Amino acid sequence: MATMDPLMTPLGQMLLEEITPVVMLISTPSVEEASRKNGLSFLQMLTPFCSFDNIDVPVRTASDQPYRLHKFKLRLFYASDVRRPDLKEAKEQLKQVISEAGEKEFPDSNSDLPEINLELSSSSEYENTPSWFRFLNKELVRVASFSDHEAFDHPVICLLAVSSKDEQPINRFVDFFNTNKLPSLLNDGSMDPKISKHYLLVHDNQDGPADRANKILTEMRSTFGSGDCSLLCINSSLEAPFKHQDNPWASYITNSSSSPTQDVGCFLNMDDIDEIKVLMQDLSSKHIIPNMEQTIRILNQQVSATRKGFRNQIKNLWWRKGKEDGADSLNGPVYNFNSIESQIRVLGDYAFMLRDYELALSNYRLISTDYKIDKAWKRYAGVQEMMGLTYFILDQSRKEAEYCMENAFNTYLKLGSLGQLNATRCGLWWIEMLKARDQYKEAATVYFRICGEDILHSAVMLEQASYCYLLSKPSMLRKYGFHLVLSGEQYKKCDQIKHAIRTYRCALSVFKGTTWNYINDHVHFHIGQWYASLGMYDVAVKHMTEILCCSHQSKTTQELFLGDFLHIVEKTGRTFEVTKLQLPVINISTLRVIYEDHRTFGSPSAANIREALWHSLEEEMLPSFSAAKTNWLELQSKLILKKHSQNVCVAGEAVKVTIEFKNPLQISIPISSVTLVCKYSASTDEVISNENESSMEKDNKVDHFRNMSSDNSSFMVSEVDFLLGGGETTMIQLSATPREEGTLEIIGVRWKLSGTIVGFYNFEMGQPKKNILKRRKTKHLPNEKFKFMVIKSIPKLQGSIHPLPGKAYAGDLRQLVLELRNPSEFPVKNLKMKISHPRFLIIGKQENMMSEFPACLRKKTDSVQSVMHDNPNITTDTVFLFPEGTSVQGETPFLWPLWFRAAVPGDISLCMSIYYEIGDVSSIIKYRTLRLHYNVQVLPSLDVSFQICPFRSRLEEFLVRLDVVNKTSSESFQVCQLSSVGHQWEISLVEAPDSIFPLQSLMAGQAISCFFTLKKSSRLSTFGDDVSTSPVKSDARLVPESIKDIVYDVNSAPLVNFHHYERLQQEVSYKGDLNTVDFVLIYRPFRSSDDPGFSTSSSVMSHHACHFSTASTGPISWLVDGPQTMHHDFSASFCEINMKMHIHNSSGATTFVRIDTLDSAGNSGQINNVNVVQSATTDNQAGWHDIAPVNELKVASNALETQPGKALSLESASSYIWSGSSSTHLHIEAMSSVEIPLQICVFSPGTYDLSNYVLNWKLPSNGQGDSDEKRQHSGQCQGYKYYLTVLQSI
Amino acid sequence: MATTACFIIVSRNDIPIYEAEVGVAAKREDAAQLHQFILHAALDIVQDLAWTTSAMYLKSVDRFNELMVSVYVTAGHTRLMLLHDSRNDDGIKSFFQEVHELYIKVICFFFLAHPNNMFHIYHFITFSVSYVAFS
Repeated sequence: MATMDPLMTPLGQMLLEEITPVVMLISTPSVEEASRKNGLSFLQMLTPFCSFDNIDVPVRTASDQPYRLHKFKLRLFYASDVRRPDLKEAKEQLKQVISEAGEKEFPDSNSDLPEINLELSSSSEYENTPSWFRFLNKELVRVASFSDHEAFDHPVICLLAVSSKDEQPINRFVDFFNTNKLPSLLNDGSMDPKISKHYLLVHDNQDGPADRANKILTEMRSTFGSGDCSLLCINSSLEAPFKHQDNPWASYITNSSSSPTQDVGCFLNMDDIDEIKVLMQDLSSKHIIPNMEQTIRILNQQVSATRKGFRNQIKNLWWRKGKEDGADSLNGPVYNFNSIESQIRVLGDYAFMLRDYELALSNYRLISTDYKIDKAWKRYAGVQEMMGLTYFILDQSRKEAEYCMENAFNTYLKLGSLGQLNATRCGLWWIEMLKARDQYKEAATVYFRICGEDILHSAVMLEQASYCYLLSKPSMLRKYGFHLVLSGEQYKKCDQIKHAIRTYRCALSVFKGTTWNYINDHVHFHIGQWYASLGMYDVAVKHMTEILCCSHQSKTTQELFLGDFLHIVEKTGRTFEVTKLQLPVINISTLRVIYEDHRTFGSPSAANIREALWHSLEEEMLPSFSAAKTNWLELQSKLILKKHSQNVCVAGEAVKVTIEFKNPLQISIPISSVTLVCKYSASTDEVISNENESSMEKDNKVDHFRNMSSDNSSFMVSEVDFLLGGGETTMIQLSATPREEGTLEIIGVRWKLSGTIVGFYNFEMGQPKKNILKRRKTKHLPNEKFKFMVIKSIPKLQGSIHPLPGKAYAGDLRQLVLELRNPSEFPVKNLKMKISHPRFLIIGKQENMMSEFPACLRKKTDSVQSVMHDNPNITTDTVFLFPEGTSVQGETPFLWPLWFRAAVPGDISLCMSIYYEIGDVSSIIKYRTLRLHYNVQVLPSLDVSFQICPFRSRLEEFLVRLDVVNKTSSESFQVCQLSSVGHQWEISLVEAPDSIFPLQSLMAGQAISCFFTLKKSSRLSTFGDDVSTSPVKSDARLVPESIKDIVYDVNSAPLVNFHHYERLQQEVSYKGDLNTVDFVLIYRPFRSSDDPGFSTSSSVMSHHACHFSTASTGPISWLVDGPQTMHHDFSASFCEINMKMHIHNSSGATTFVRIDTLDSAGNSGQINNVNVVQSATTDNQAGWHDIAPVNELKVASNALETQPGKALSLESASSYIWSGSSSTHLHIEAMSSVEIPLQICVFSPGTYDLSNYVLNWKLPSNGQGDSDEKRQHSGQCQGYKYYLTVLQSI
Repeated sequence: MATTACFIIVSRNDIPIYEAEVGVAAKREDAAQLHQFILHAALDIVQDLAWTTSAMYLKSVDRFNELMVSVYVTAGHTRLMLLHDSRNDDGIKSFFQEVHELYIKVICFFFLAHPNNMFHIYHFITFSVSYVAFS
């Protein structure tokens, strides 16, 4: 590109066309008349012959170097047109051109978006940009012509044409040069009025032979000189209109649409044309070019004389400096045509036109500084402009060329409105210059700068700028898009809607697929609006639908978008159907299809439970298929076909689809007629139906959406209307109910927005992955998951549990009823049931139906027997089989009791599944399951904790502390009874119930503690053998005896079952401890709550606390038995005291125990021991622990003080010695006690702490040792404090 | 004091992942789309310019009338772009650097926490932009 001849570039060609000598034409009316016969003005007739591709004229300008001109062109103007063009007229014309182009280029609304073809764009600019740009640019350049500040528009010759018909032709020639007829530019002195003239006599051959004309010509020659006169004969074609093969005028008169081009020049034959050609050639080569040469030489001499040379330069500078003060107008001083400045400019321009660019440039340079000093800015800019062009053509300095152009452009702009037109022209040339050098990006910025006040021009310029960005390398598509949008906006401002749409559509191809949401909204919205204003509503709607989902926009914009959209749709006058309606947004990931084959759901919530959960629940109940396996090959295929290939639903039972609708906008939108779109075919054979439909499916997919309402006798669909508020999300359940056997396919959903626009959503298209209940299937053909095989109606069980509370306090115990109905005529049988949370819900017995609820828990004296038989029942944690022969049919419901207990606080999801078989075996489905699901919210009620501590004074007896805190906010409870479960323990209250509960109730937030004595029952070993002996008091009533109330039997039916599950739940890792105790605390709401959420019928609540170990330090417990106070006469002898130690082994194995007695010598008193004891019982630190009996001690020491000389303190503890064996070894059998004698010797009176012994115990580590590693096998226990006071006997 | 400013983070595949109007000037109705248009178009300039320099801060790369676009290109070719109408090169540079730091933290955090979830980035950057007071 760089090596390209500048003259061959578009700009070079343009300059060769535009900057050429001007011929001023003056003609008489009769000349015009003669030429008018051909449909042409005289000027038009001559014009095609004014440009010469190879004129081949030798030229010798100032530099004395001859060269030949080849391409040459003349511009012809009527004298009346030698003036500034009328701006208004030109604008009107431009506007018309643009409008016409708009009509022509307006894209077909159905056509796709224009693709940006980068390959193509790189090839050539002119193929890609609209052709009317060039015309427009030319016009804009033309508008700036005949300015007084430049000379290349000065006529170089005047062509005077007089017809041979005219009277006194010689006089007419003279008359032409009456000054008042000449253009004002010549008269006001900006142009040289002394133009050389050429006299032309025009003869119309239709008027007769040319005799008269020849006569006049000789006359003319004698008057004006022979060289300057010529004769032109036209209209020689006398007969039929002459048909030109290649009409030379055709390309010149296209814009004047007066006559069809074929008739143009119809009376001009080849001779005439040749004559015109010769005339113009002679005029150019013999007159114009030599004339200009002459002028250049003369002017050059003048300029050299006055301006060249050092002296002249100094003089010029001096002279100009002096002149500076005077001229102060905006335009600088006025220069006459004969001023030296004007002459230099003329010299430059003539040289330019004759292509002596070096000469032109030197003159431009010369004058440029002058104008600058004179502050003649317009002239300065004009010269700079020409300098830039000259530099370009000389291909010398690119930088210089650009600098000059920019300088000129800026200077023109500074002039404001005066220079606007010139600025535009200068800018266009500059742009061409940049384009010629592939600087498209820079060219685009210049286009952007050209944009002036005229909006229409700006629009065109911006559009051209956008093409420049497209053509730049690498192409700047985003800039292209942006400028197209800018241009479109300008077009819109001057009502060029079609152009606006065109540019926006082009821009759309750039922005398509981007996530720049504001941009997309803007473009689509405006295209939509504009199409609507043209009445093309269909396309408008298409664009408007793109912007409906505009959650990022402000509320007002959203209202505007939606309002406009609805308005346009309204104008279409029909309910519009859109396949991709974005409003509301359908959250396809929430799509769930709920259908009932062999699984049926009791409530919608049951369907929402994970299938895996149901599956694990039902696993045991369902008949196993693997058992029936006969031939693995056959079976496999059958199974797959039967179970896995197609979804099955039952006629008359609805297939439900839940899907989420979301309104992304801040304004509410009304949605109506939301229905499923389904397809039904009577054939159940999958293969056939597929074949039939697959061919037409693709074409008619949308049709299915359309005419769905026509044929729906074989299935029913539900219809939903709702209003989606701003930002709302709603879950919608839709259903389709098939009525007959066949195949039902759910295709999608359709809805109406604002009652006018129908939207469709095809599930298969938007489904990213299957989200359907049947999870076992790993692979699904896409169209199969919404396809159902409809089978004939089979019975379906309906079930409910009532009255299951929604809310309950923890511990609440209730009797519920399971009610099953079978509305169909066929019976169902073999009912089985399983419950997910037996801790909360257990199945009762038929006879429980009859019994009254709280009363049936009453403890009866003879209940012990039955309890023992209940126990085996509760261990079965599997499927509950309804009694043989149970069959549900018809109107009468089948009832069965259930027990509910709110075991722990929290949200509990209870699932139960009921299996049943269908009596009618002809169906594909042999059995069904009814799945029930309930949510119960359990609130905390009482917080109960127990603390067990052995009595030091008695073996096998414990003190139990019960802490109860009421955790509710308003409820009061009455604590009724505490029972220990089983028959090993006796429990009794330490103090009277009245003192514990003065108000008989526990208020909200209240906490109490009470103490019980727990005693091991004496007949523990006879457990289960003979139980009918005296009843064990395993219940402690916490209500005063005065209140007549029942004692609840914790060993009776529901309580003991629940207790069983609680035991399982609270199971500790340390099993095998036989000394655990389980408590059941029974309480009830004291008065009925105001909260309506709670049922008031409940009156019993229970708390189960299990596995409280009584042995806190190890498997052994012991007791030191001996005197507390002794009197001894120490003067006689030392004192020997005998004591006993009872050791009990509460473990289930023989324990090896060693008792080590430590002498107090070397043991620094009791303090250490106290510490040891404390640390040994750290478990009890928070609760209660051993405290030395201080009071006793004080009494003792007081007693001691009364005795003079025998002061004794604990610190100076007098020693004693264990006088028995220092170490005793023994084996204690499981669950047995041993008694060991101990003896100490005391040497002086005092109080002694006999805790200086250690019990080491060890369990055999064989057998069970492996099973639970954590269990302790051996341990050491420090001795208890045991204070002995020995007094001196008197 | 900036009168108009629009901050945007554009991911390497030209998706705007964060947008904020941070100017104090009264909002014009069409401001949002105009800002997007300018910033979107400026990506063309950035695409050329980013490879000509090793600096991350590209200064003011483009302008439209009074609005200038300053760009900061991270190593991962995420572009932090600020549209503004007053010159304050140093302030903008330090703003970009701070945002970049926060951006990296957020990316790292969410890359570790939720490799597939870039949503929360919004909340973090909203915080950061309000935190780094742009003057």
